[in-house]
Amino acid sequence: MKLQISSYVLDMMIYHAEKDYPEETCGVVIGPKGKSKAIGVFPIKNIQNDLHQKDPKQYSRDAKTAYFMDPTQLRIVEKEAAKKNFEIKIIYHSHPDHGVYFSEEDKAMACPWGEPNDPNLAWLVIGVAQAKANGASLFYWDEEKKDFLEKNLKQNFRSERI
Amino acid sequence: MAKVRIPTPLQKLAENQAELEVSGTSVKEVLANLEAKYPGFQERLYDDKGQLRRFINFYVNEEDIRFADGEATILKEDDELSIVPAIAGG
Repeated sequence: MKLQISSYVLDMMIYHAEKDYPEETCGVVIGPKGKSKAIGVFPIKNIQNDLHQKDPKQYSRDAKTAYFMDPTQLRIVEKEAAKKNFEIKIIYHSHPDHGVYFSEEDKAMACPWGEPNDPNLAWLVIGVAQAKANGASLFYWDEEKKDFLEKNLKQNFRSERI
Repeated sequence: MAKVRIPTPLQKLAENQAELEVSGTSVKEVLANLEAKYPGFQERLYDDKGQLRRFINFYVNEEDIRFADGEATILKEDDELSIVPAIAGG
């Protein structure tokens, strides 16, 4: 199922990615259940710095190179969305100064026990360099290839961004 | 007895059930009893150092146990323990 993402929705995510630079931003986009529209952007607090400070052994990275969505906020968004028959369609985060790709860490976290927790989720990565977004891609799970496939969103970028 | 919510990829360990009743008065006890009944959970929920894996969120009702007492978090009768993969990455 190909997701429809308006440039407005992408702009909202980009806004947050640029604002949170040089740290990683993160959030979710919700849409009506069973439909391929992603319409509501909810930024979620990245608590990676808190976890890193509390337990640097288990959480060795800080928020410049990792994100961890605030579990309480995430739960509220999920529950409230479900009440309206909405669900999470996209998980987004940014890569400050290290390009647009789905990293090994991203894959490992998306597949906690070797397979995706929800194969229908799309993952969106926004590249940010010097506080300006410079690219974005969606990554979808491919059941046959057992890997994530990339769909570049360059055409959704406003022309002045490229 | 606590209600335990199982994430989809692990439901196959528990006869495809999404929700189970498990006895125990703390998160640690409930997880040990879950393992006793349906072996396989332990290695998926704990790392090789015996700590709860960092990529999983455990909620007692609505609260993440990282911000409560971790494994020692008390479970009262009819409390709900939800096991949910964290959303995180690099």
